[in-house]
Amino acid sequence: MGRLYWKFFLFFFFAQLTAVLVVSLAIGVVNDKRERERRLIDAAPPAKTMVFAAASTLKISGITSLKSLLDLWLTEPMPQLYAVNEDGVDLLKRDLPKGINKESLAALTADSDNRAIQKIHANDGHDYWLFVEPRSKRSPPTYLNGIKVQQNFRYLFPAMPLIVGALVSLLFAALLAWYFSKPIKQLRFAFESAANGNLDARVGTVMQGRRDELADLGSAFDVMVSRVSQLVQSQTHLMHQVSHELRSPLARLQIAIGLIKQQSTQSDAAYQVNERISTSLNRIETESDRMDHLVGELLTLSRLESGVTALQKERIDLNELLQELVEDANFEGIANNIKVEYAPRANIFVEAQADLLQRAIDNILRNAVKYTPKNSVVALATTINPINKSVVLTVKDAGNGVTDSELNEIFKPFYRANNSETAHGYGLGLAITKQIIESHAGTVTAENIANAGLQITIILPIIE
Amino acid sequence: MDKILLIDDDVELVEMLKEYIDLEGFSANTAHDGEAGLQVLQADTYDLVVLDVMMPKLNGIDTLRRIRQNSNMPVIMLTAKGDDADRIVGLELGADDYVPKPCTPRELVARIRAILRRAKPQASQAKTITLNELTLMPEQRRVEWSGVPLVLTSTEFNLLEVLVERAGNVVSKQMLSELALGRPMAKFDRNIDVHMSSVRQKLSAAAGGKQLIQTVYRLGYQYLK
Repeated sequence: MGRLYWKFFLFFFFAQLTAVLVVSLAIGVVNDKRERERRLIDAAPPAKTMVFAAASTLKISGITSLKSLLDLWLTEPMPQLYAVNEDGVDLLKRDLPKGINKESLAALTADSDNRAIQKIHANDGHDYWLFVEPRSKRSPPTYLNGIKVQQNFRYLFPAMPLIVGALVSLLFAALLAWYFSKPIKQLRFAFESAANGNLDARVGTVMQGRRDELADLGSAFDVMVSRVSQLVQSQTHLMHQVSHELRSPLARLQIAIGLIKQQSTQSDAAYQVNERISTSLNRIETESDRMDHLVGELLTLSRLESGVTALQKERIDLNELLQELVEDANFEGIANNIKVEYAPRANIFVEAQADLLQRAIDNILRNAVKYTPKNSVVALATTINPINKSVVLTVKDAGNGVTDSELNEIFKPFYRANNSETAHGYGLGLAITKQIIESHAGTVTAENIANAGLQITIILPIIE
Repeated sequence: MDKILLIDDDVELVEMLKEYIDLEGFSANTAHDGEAGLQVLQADTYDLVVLDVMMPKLNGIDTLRRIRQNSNMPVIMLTAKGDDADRIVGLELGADDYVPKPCTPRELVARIRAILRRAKPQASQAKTITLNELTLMPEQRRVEWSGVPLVLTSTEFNLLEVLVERAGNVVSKQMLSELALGRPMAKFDRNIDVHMSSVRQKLSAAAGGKQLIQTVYRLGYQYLK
């Protein structure tokens, strides 16, 4: 559950809870008055009948008859009718029920339109309020499973809807939050997946049946991704076509050169005499080789950058791979008496596409051998970082390094460091290395080492 | 004179290549797409085919698949440089070697010579080798396992021959490349590995699942005695 989910959830929950509270309060206020009335006198229909009967007796037969009636009723086990005069004294001189006095009776009479209380002018000259005492006081206790149930449970009545309301709003808030946050989460996954190069990511299928702005957003995403996918595909296709088209004339050129050489060595005496033609031919051959190499590198880089070709990773013994590369680099350094030193460290395994990783490290080693002075040493070292399960691979040369501002630039395509006056290469080697290492979830950085040269550091995740 | 068929859709290139190859003492013929190439192969016999991967109609991979259905003749693939996928697929389907394109004609002819030299029985190696159930007949370029013939391409045969001649010893990939392909191993070259995997599969299938060729870590391959 994401943050958004909880935000939605809490927001809706509080909104609903507030609504429930306000409504309960309003209902409570309305109920309160009736409740108070109900507590002072009995307003139920039987009580009204009693009040009506007593009022009729008083009006027709007078105060004595009412008194006899009340005496008669006194023997019955039922709520008692009170007849209270304007001085607050009961006709039978009984104590008044709790909360009843002149003032409350006056107020009740003014309020009440339900005939539960009546004020009658009697023949003895007094006014009498006639009402029945509240039922709760004398009604028998209710038993539930043999246990005495508190009769005043209904005073808890407002708490029940409150609890139910809270639970229901909890449920609905959760549902609503889920309803909003789920498609957003799906969208996020789709975006992440697309950002990681999976241009087949679509949300249309998981959002099926939804008809709202979020679904619109989803279909807009789908349209966007398919458009990007088309663009990437057409660009890769174009790169492919371009390199193929560039290579065809190059291939023809090389065969044409081969033909001239072949034919002239066999027949043309003039060619053998003219050494300059031979030199130029060799030069043309070298340059076409170079161009071919460059086209190849460009193709590799564009493929890696687009990330369209999935890596074919396997478990690789890094030590084995490095030893092979060091052998090759040493072979290359022989002419200038450059040594590549490497202390083998076994049991480092990485998950990588072998030829790509080899190429990435080879580019760095070759660069080091190229820029380190004659009779010097290039140091290759590996250390394991057990905390974040990675291997740190460093290649240090004894050259002049680069200026600090160039430390990041050297990984950009076709960038050539200022001090590389004897530069060969095509300026793509380190860019390819960076792409390869990053596509293997690693990093590559450069730094200048005091009193030494440039040091390139590769960090790669290791596996058991 | 060895007859070579060049199949490539680049008409100009193929004509120049034919001229070059003819001057080197071969007899070359050309075809410009896979379909046409297969027709030419049906009409006549050739000693070697040079096959471009990227071609209209029937591409090189499919053409190779069709050739391998009824022939183990030597095939060299011309692949776009850097297109490792094509190269590996080609080798897995039984191409004997590949030459990245563009290449110098000198390089291509050197490969053709190397493959042809090893595709033909040589007097010096003419004696039959028998090792348990395996019988290797270099003069006929045939292999049998318990009397049942094993169908291998020319390069696969060469590799097996090199290993069996040195049965019990580890042979490095470099050595295998030089002896069986006739060239030193190139950087990042997976040629030997792909061919070896194919040989091992075929041999293991014939020997009822037994693994007779062992990969020796960092060193090479070994035929177990």
